[in-house]
Amino acid sequence: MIEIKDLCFSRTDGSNKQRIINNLNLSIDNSQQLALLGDSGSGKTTLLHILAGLIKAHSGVVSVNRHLLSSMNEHELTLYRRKIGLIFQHYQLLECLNVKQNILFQHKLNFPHQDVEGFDTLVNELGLDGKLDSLVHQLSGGEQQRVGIARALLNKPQIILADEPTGNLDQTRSHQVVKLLTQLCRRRKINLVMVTHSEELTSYFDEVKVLRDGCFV
Amino acid sequence: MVALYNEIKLILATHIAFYRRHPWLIALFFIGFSLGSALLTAIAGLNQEAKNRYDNSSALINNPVSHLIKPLAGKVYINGNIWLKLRQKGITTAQPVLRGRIATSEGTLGIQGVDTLLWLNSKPYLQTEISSGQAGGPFALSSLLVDSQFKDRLTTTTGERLPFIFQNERHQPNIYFADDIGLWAITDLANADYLLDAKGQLSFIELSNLTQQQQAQIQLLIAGRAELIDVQQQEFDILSQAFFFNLTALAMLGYIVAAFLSFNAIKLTLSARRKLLQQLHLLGCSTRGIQISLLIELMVLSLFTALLGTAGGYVIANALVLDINSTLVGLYQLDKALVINWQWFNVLLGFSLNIISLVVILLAQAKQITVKGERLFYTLLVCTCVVLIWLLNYASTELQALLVCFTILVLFILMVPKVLSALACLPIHIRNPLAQWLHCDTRYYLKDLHIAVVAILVALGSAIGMQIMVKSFSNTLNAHLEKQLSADIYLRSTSLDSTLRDTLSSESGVKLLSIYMQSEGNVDQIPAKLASFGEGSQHYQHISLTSAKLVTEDDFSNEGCLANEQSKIKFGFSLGNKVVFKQNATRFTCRITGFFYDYGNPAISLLTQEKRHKSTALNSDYFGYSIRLKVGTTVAAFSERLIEDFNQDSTQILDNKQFKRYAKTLFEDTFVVTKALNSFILAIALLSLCTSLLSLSTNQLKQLTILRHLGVTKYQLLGMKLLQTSGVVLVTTLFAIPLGFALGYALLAFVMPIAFGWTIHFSVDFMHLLLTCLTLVGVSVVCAYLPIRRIIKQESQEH
Amino acid sequence: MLKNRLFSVFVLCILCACQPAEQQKSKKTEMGSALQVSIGEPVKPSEILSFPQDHGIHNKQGIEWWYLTANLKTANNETFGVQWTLFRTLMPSKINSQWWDNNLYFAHFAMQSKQEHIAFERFARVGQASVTSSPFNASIDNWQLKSNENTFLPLTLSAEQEGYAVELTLAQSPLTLHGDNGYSQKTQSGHASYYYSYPFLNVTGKLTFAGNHYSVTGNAWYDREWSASLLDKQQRGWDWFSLVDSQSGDKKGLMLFCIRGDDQGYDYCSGSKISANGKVTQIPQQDITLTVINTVSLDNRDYPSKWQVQLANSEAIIIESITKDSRNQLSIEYWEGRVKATGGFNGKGYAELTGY
Repeated sequence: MIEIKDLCFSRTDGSNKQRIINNLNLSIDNSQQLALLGDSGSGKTTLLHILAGLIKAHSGVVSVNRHLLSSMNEHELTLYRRKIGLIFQHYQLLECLNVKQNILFQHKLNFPHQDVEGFDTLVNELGLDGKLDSLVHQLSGGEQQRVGIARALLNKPQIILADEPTGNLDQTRSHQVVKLLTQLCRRRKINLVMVTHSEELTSYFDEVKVLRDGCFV
Repeated sequence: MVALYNEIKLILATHIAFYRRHPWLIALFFIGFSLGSALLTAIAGLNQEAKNRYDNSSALINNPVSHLIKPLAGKVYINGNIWLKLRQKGITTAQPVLRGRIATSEGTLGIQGVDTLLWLNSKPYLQTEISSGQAGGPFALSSLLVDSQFKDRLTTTTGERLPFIFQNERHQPNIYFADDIGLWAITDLANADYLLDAKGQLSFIELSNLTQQQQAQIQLLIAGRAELIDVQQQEFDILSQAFFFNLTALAMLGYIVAAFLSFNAIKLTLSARRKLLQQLHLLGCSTRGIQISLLIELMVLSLFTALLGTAGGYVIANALVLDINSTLVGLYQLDKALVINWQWFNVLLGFSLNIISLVVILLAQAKQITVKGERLFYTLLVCTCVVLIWLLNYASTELQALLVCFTILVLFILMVPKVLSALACLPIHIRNPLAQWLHCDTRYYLKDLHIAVVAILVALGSAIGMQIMVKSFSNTLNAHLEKQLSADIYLRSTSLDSTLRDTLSSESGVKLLSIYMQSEGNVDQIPAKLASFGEGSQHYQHISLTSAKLVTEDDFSNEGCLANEQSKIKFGFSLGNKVVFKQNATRFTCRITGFFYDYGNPAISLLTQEKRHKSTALNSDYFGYSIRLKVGTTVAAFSERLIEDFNQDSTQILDNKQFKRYAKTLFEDTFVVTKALNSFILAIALLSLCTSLLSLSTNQLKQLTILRHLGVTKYQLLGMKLLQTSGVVLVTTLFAIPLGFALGYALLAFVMPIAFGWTIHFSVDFMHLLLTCLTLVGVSVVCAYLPIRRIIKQESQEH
Repeated sequence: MLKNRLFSVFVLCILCACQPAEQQKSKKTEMGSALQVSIGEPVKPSEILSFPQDHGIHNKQGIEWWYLTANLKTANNETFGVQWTLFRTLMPSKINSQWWDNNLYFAHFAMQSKQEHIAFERFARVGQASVTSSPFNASIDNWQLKSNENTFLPLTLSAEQEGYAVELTLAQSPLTLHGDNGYSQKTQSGHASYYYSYPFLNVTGKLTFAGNHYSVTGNAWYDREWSASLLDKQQRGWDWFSLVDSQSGDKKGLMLFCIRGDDQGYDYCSGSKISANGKVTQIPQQDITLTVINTVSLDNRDYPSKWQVQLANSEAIIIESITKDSRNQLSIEYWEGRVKATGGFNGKGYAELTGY
C-alpha cells in the first residue's frame, strides 16, 4: 500500500526555486496498478524517484507498505530499494555481467543464501531463454528491457516502480512490454506504478492519474 | 585567411571552455610533463653546470677559462714567475690563482687569492669612486669574501668573529659574507700569499682563448716546470662521467614515468574531445582549422610545461646541489662548487622532449595503431626478448649496460598488463553477486588503470632495483673496508719520519707498522695512482685480491705490481700486461701480477713495494702510518703513548672505526641523490594512480549508479572499489618485485662493472623491500580513497 | 658580467678604507679627487736630480709617472698620435708579500688617427710592472719603454693590444729640467713636483692602427714627474700643453700648465720655453693668459677645443685640438690628444685636459 500526504518537492536553479511537486496526495491499494501520465516537466519522474527512495521530499509524508520513507536515512533507503523492483527507461543493466547474472543480481543481494525459485519460469515468460549467457550489449532494446523486468520480478517485491520503461522502444514493442509487465504483476499480486507519457499504454492499468505542474488533475 | 583565423580562434575558445569544465585533465597534463621535464632538466642542468664550471674565472670575470697551467703531478705549487713571464710574452689572459686552507677553532676555510686588480678595469667598477686610502690611511687589500655557508666556522653562536690560527704571526683579514661565492673564499693574491705563507708560489694559472700558437709558446715556456691542460680534459671530467651517466639514466626513468601521467591525460582528453571535435566538424569547422588549433594547443602546452618543468628542475637541482657537490669534490676531485643557474637551454630541452613525447603518444592513439595493437604487441615483445638476450651475452659499453635495464623494463611493461588482464579473466566460480560483479568489472577497470599500473610497476621496480644496488654496494663496501681498514691505529702525517718509524716499529706493543705513500700520474692518459705500504708482502695483507689468494712476495717480483679491479673491468688490462705509469717525464713500468678490490675509486690504482717506489724519481705524497698492535696492547693506551711519548698531534690519530666512518659517509652521500630521485619517481607514480582514478570514465560512474539503484550501499561500493584498487596495486607490486630483482641484477652485473669497474655481490634487505611494497600499497589505498569517494558522492548527488 | 652584489661589496672594501665610498660620484671629479689627495712625502726644492737614479722609482712620493706622447706621420703624410704612460701610486698595506710592494701600477696606451681615438688600460702589481733606472726599463706586462743600451737614450717603446701596436725607437733629445732645476711648483699654495722632460725625441718605427701597419717618423715628448700631491682641494684639474716647433731650423719647445679652480677658471699657470739644447726659460704665472675660444660638446660636457695663449712680449698663440674627442675613457676619464699651434708658436704637440 502506498500513501502520500501533502508531498512537496522543489528544485533550485540558481536563484530560482521551482516547485516540482505541489502538495500531492495519493493512495494506492495493494496489488493495484497505477499509470502516472503527464507531459515532460510535470513531476511524474520526480514522484517516482521519491517513491523509490532515490530522492527525499522536502515536506509531506510518504509511506510504502508501512515504510515511512520521509523519516529514513540514506542507508535505510538503500536497503529499502533492495526490496522493491525498479525498472528504468535506459535499462540500467550491469554491462560486465551476462543476462543470467543481471537477472539474479538483486535477488542474490537480498537473499544471499537462498535458492532462487521461479527463475526458469520467469525467463520463459519473458522469452529470455537462450539469451542467458549473452552480454547485455548483445541484446536488442526490447530484450534488455525484459531483462530489467525479470530482475525486478525475481526479487519478489511488493511494489515495482517503472520509469518510462518503453521510452526507448517502438510502439509495437512498447505495447508488448507493458502488456507483459502488467500481466506478470497482476499474476503475482504486485503493486505497479508506471510513469509514461503515452496515453495509449495506460489502457493496461487499473487506474490512471494525470500529473500537471506537480498536481493531479 | 581572416576566415581561417576566426575559425581557429573559435575552436581554441571551445577547447579552453572544455578544459575549464575538466580542470583535472589539464592539471594532469601539466603535472605529468612538468614533473618529467623537471627531473630531466635538473640532471641536465647539473651536468651542464659541471661542463660550464669554467665559464667564469676564479676571479669571477665573465671570461671562459679554456686552459690551466697546473703543477706537475705530485707537486702542489708552481713558481709565480711563470705567470709574470706569460704576461711579459703578451699572454695577458693569464690569471693567477693561489689556493690553500686556513683554520679557526671551528674548522678550516678554503681561500683563493686572485688578481683583484682586474676588477678595477671592469665597467661596473667605473661607477664606483676609486679611493686610494683616504687621508693616507691604511690600504685594505686584506679583505676576505666568504660564502654564507661557512658562517658557522668563522663566527661564534653569538656572532663574534673567530680568529684564524696561523703558524706565524699574521694580521687577521676583514671578512665579508655573501651568497654564491662557492667553496673558496676570495681575496687578493697578495693577501692569500701572506696568509698562506706561499712565498710567491701559485696553485695554478687560468688562461682564456688560447690560439694554437700561444699554446705552443706556453708549452716551451713551462717545460719541466708545469703542465698545460685543457679544462674539459681534467681528471674530474674523465672520472665523473659514470656518475653523471647514472644520474642521467635515473632522470630518463623519471621522465618516462612522468610521461605516463601525460599519456593518461591525452588519452582521456582525446576520448572526451572526440565527440566535441566531431560536433565542430559537423557545425562547419574545416579539418585544417581543427588541425591547426590542435597544433597550437599542443605547442603552447608543451612550452608552458617546459617552462614549469625547468623552474621545477631549477628548484630540484638547487636542492640536490649540496649533496652532489660533496660527492663530486670528495670522490671526483671537483675543484669548484657547482652553482645552479637558470638556463634557457633547459627550457628548449624540455620543450623538445615534450613535443616528441606528444607526437609518440598521439601516434599511439591513431586508429591504425590501435587496430594493429595485437600484432604490434607481439612484434615488440619478440624484439625486446631478442635484444635482451643479445645484451645479456654481449653488453660491453655503458650505454649497452643501461639498455639491459631498459629492455627488462620494457619486457615487464609489455607483459604485466597482459598477465593482469588474464588473471582478471580467470573463470572463477563466485556466488556472491557483489564479488561476481567486482570480478568481471575488474577487466574494464584494468583498462582504465592501465597507465597507472605501468607507472607503479616501473617506479616500484626501479626503486627495488636501486635498493638492491645500494644495499649490495653498502654490504660489499662494509666487508671490503673491514679488511682494508683493519689496522688498529692510523697516524696521519704529510712527511716520512724515519726515526719515528724505526722507533715505533721496534715498540713492544706494535705488531706491524706500515706507511702509505702515493704518486699521482696516468696510465695511457687515464688518471692513475701508484701506492706503496712498505717493504715486504706483510704490509699488503689488508689488500683483497680478486683471486681470493693472499698477497705474497711473488706478486712483486720481476717488476710485478698489483692493479685494482677497475683496471681490468673498465680499462681492459689483463694479468701479465706491462703498464707504464707516467708522471710528467718520469716513467714507472711494472707487470700486473694480480688484481685487487678497490671500491669507490673510479681511477686506476697500482701497488708496488716501498723500495721500488722510492727508487723512481716520482713525486710522492705521504699520508701517514698504519699501526697494528699486538694482542694485549689497547688502542687507547697506545694512542696515549703516541701523544705523550712521541709528541704526536691527537687530531692526527684515528682508530679504524673513525676511518671507516669517514669512508662510508662519503659513499652514502653518493646515494642520497639516487634515493631522492627514487622517492620522487615513486611519488609521481602514486600521483598517476590518483589522477587516473579521478578521471575514471563515465562508464564506471554509470555502473556505480546502477548498483546504487539496485540497493548496494555507499560503503559497500567504497569498500569494493578500494578492494579492487588495492588488489590491482598489490598484484602489480608482486610483479614489481621480480622486476626489481631483475633490474638489481642488471645493475650489479652490468652497469656497475662496465661504468665503474667494480664487482659487487648481490644482497637484498628483505625487510626493507617488504616495507617499501607494503608502504606503496598502503599509500595507494590512501590515494585511491579520495577519488573513489568523490565518484560515489558525485553519483549520489546526481540524484 | 661580474655579479653586481658581490662586486659592490668587495671592491668597495678592497680599495676603500673601512667605509664604502659614494657610488655615483661623477668621473670628471675622480681624476681631480685622486690628485687632490696627498700621498707620501712632499718633494723638497733643494734636491738635485741625479741620473740614472732619477729615471727610476721615487718610493717616498705617492704619485709618479713615465709619460710619452708622440706626433707621428707616414711617408704619405698620414698622421697619428700615440700616448703611453706608466703610473705608480703609493697604496700602503699591512700585507707583507712579494705580490705587493705598497704600490699600485697602471698604464695607459692610446692612439689616434684623424678623428678616431682609442685607449687601453692595465693595472698591475709588483712583478707585473717594474721600473729599473739603469739600464732604464719601465714595463707593465708586455708594454715596455726601455733603453736599448747602457745609456738612457735611445729608447724603445713597444706596446700592443687588440690590433693597435707600436714599436718605436726614440732618440736624440736634450734633457729639460722644468721649474727650478726640476722642482716645479703647481699651485699657489705650494703643491709641487719634480718634473723633467726629453721633449725633442726623434721617432722612427712601426705602428699598427686598427690592424693596419705603417712605418712612421716624428717627434715624441717624454715627461717624468713625481709628487705627493698636485692640486689643492678646491682645484678641479688642469690643462697641459706640450708643443714642439720642428719646422723653423732648430727645434724649440713650449710647455704650459694651467690649473683650474672650482669655477673652471684658470687659477694658476706656469710654463717653460725650451731651447734646442734643452735649456729652460721659466714663464712666470703673471706672463701667461690662457683663454678658451672654442669648445666641443662630448656626452653633454664641454671640452675646450681651441685656446688662445697670450705670453708676455709675444704674439698670441692659437692652440687647436686635432682629434676632437680624445677622451681616454678609462677608469679615470681625461682628455689627451694632439694639438697644433699657430701664431706666436707654430708647431705640434699634445694637450692633456683633466677634471672636466
